Amino acid sequence: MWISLSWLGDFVDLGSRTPEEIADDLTMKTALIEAVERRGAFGEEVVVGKVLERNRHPNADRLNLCVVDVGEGEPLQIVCGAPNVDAGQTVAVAKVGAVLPGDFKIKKSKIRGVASHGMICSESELRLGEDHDGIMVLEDGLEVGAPFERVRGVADVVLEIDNKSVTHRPDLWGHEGFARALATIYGLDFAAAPVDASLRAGGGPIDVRIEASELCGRYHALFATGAFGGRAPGWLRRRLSHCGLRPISLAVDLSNYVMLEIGQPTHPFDARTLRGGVIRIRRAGEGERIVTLDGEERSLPPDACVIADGERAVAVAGIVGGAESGIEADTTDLVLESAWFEPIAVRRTSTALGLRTDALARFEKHLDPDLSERAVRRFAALLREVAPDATVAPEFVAAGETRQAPRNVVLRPARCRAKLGVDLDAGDMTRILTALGFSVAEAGDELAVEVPPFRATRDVDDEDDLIEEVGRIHGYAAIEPSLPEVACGPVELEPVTTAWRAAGRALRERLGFAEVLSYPFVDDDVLARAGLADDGPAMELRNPLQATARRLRRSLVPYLLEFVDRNVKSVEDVRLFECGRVFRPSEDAASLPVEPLHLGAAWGERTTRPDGSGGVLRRLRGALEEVFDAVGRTFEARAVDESSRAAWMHPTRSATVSAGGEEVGRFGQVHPRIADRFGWRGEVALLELDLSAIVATPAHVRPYAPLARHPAATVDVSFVAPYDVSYRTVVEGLTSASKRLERVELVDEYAGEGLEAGARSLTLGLRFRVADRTLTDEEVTKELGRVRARIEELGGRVRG
Amino acid sequence: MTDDLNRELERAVEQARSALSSVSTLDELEALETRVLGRKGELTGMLRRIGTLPPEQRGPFGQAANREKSALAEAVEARREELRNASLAGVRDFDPTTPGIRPARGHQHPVLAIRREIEEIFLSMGFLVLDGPEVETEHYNFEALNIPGHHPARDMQDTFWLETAPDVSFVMRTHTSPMQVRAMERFGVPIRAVVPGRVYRNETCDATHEATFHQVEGLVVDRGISVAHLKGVMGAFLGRLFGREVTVRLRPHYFPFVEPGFELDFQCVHCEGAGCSVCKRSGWIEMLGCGMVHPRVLEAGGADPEEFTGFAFGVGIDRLAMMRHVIEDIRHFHAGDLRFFEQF
Ligand SMILES: [Zn+2]
Repeated sequence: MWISLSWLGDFVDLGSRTPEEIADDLTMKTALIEAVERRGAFGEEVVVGKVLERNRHPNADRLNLCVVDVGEGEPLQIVCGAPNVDAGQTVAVAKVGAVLPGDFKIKKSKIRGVASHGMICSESELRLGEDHDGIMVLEDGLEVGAPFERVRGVADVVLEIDNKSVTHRPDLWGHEGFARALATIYGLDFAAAPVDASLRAGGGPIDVRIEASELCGRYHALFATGAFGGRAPGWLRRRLSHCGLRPISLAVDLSNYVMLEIGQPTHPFDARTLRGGVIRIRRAGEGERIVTLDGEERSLPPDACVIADGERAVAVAGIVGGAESGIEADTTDLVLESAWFEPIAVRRTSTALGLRTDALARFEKHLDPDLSERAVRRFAALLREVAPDATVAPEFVAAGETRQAPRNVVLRPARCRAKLGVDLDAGDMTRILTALGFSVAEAGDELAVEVPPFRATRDVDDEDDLIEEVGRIHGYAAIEPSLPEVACGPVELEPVTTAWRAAGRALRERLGFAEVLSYPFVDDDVLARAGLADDGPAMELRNPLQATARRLRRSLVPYLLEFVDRNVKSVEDVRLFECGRVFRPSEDAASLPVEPLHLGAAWGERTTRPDGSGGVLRRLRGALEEVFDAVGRTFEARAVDESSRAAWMHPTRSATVSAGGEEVGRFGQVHPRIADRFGWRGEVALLELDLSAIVATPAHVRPYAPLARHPAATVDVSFVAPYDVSYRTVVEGLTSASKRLERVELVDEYAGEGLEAGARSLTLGLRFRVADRTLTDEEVTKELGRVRARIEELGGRVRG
Repeated sequence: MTDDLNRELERAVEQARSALSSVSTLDELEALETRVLGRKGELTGMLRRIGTLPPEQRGPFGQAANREKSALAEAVEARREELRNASLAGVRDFDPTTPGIRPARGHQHPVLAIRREIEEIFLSMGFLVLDGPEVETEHYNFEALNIPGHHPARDMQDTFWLETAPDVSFVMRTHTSPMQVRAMERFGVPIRAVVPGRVYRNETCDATHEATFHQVEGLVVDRGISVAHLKGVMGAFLGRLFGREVTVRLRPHYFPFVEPGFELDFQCVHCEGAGCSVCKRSGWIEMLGCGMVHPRVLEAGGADPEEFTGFAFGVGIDRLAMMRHVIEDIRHFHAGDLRFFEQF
């Protein structure tokens, strides 16, 4: 929305304040001003000129070659395409170097082989109107060479209001409201727009019937005769176009002018087109259609409010008029509609039609119903001013009873001071509120405030709203910042956030993982690429952005696979992880879903490295250990069985992770079927943990053993055993076989060449010790014998 | 007897000194040092023979020998320093501009990095850091925040709705603000808390719009909390976040769940407020929405608005990360491209 400073001047004298100053003060005290723009100011390079000659362009029939006097030296040769240009005319000339609105720079040019030293301007090129059918012909007698902006005095400055900053302020959808705000900010007098007080409510040539009173609370019809299809005066047209509206005809321009001025939309009908001598405000009929002013045929939603004559709908209430009933060039009899429509209903209809208009933007804000009558009176006053030949019927039709009752609110100055943190007295508050249109009376320690109807429809209904008015106009910049005095107490992160941070730090800082984020919507395309299917009941969106991304994730795996694929063909070693919520529907459908925080990690390599490092799967197992160390918990890993294996998991190279007796995650190599689908050449392993479940298990405190007094004996032992004999079984077996075995450490694991399938070679570092003396060689040999025997018992074959 | 020994000492010292001047390597020097000054060296040997002297000569000879010995030791040290310097002044064998050897380096997500910084700042000011559900009830996301059914504010936040049983209504939370009421319900008042987390908007993604992004919500409720405190806390927060004083302004803005409500802008750090393309020529950059908690929201959280007042704020952190690193497209944050993350 654009607000013109010259227009504001009709209601408040802003003196010598600069536009920038005014814009800043409005931004800080009323509504965000997004831009300050000059309109109708063209600089010294656009001047009054006189066309001395008009000749045919030698190379183009449609073009004219004009010689124009611009009051200096030689007359200019200018190529002009307008059909109406002629010798003897006084015109506006943009000389070389001029910059027209829209940052259009005038340069010396050649048009069809002939040099042109400027441009003769049309209204639209100067943003003075929409007439671009020809050049603008000025009145004779103007001083040739004078800057055009000075002789016409049309320069103005407009402010662009951020509409979002006034959605709650129906009173700020016109110039009057902003003038009142500025008068309050600067302590100036405010004069409301003048209205025609002589008009009376009564009868008219057309009967008005409100048949849907729940949708239309007030309806006024004003009758007038005049040349309504003609032009409005230049100053009025200019104000409209400066504010971004296209001047159209006298009736439409006046209607728009009233809207931009006081915020009330009105609609002009050509009285000839209204049939049956009646205006009915009713609900749309079943399957009813209307061709709207924009020429489009629309079907009306069943609960839409329409304006109809005796036969058919002629307008969609509060949104748009019908094409058949609009103002034509020869319209002489006018019916002007001004009404109050139910804001929620008009908004719903607008959404259903997919059509937003300037009128709707105002009606949906919940206007003061009394504004409807005021608009009729303002229109009449304006019409008499700009078209003395027109006649206005002394009576207008008024229907409907809806009124906004004034609201009474008590303001306690002490609370106002406390909430704002600023020292203002009751007198300051009274002054501010009164200037904004409130009535204030002192009642003991309190102020009894009456909210005017134009503020009471929506935004001001209790004490805190008044405190906002006072604080805003006083100025928030004037409030001295201070820190609250707080009670001292321990604060902490949620345990799961602490775990996320600790695990993330370990993965990033010790293992080189990158932390990523993905969408929590499961994309079917992502699943399809991996060849995965749904994995159980999920929450679903009713209105997804894409139909393929409807379900909320239950796992981080699908996007981990997708992200691995995006990188693994170009990056040698891909390590990434994500922490995020997954969503599982509750048993009880009335409860919110369960949202545990999951950690998902992927380790992939572009090609498999033959370096005996055990592959990405064992490295990822190491990452799992780091994560549990970091969060201070312990886990057990078990080979996964058929029933609990997820579709992405390798049949033999995957595992479940449990903590505190509960399954809290899984890890494993990606199934070769999926790897082949993606065309990966190296191995990829994934890990997914439920951090929320993990932090619920008991914290692990590292056990401490007093430092040994006597040296230990360390011996390595190597043996071959099937994978089925788990490392864990071996460690437990050896520990129970030798009481003096203090620690077992994995030195090396090897499988492959030289060993049968399903078998591996393990080398363990064994540490034997007793507390009270040094073990003798014979004793160590004896313990080692026990260990070897136990290995053989377990199915291993000791080497060497 | 004494004379013999004295002469022997003189000779040995003289020989040692001349040998010292002719050694050319550290090894030779070491050998010389052992030969002369070592435990079995010449000088030590002479000192051992001190017992063969008459008692009255032992003192003077011992002093002289020790004096010579320490003088020689000093000369050896000096020579060692000369030789070491000479050897180090040789061929260059290190280039300080060659990068060092580092362990594999991980990468923090730029949005989560800022989230953690903000958490730390508020922890240091005594705020709880809380979590809330991302799927939220219509009640907490809208009604409890003074946004009833037909309120236009619901249009502004294009909402993802979930399929549910007919008697309940769930949304992907459109902001972190529902946690204002949840936090008051869970901890009572007074309270100071921030709630970082993901929020969702049903809007088509482009370079500056995402269907999901991160916010941090803040809430302070106590007796006597005022706009002045809001300004004080926001100033302290932003000063810490930017690592320097920033000029901010509170500009009136309407949010249904605060009254008064504000947008907090900070002066553009690129142009110092003069106006540039980053700040769209305004000199100011919109930073966050905030305000005094609406009495109806306090009531929804079980606090008495007559006794308690409070302020709340909500800051979008994806945009902060984009500003900090001059990131041109918000979609990088969720694209999983390591070429992006490796830069952080
Ligand atoms: Zn800037």
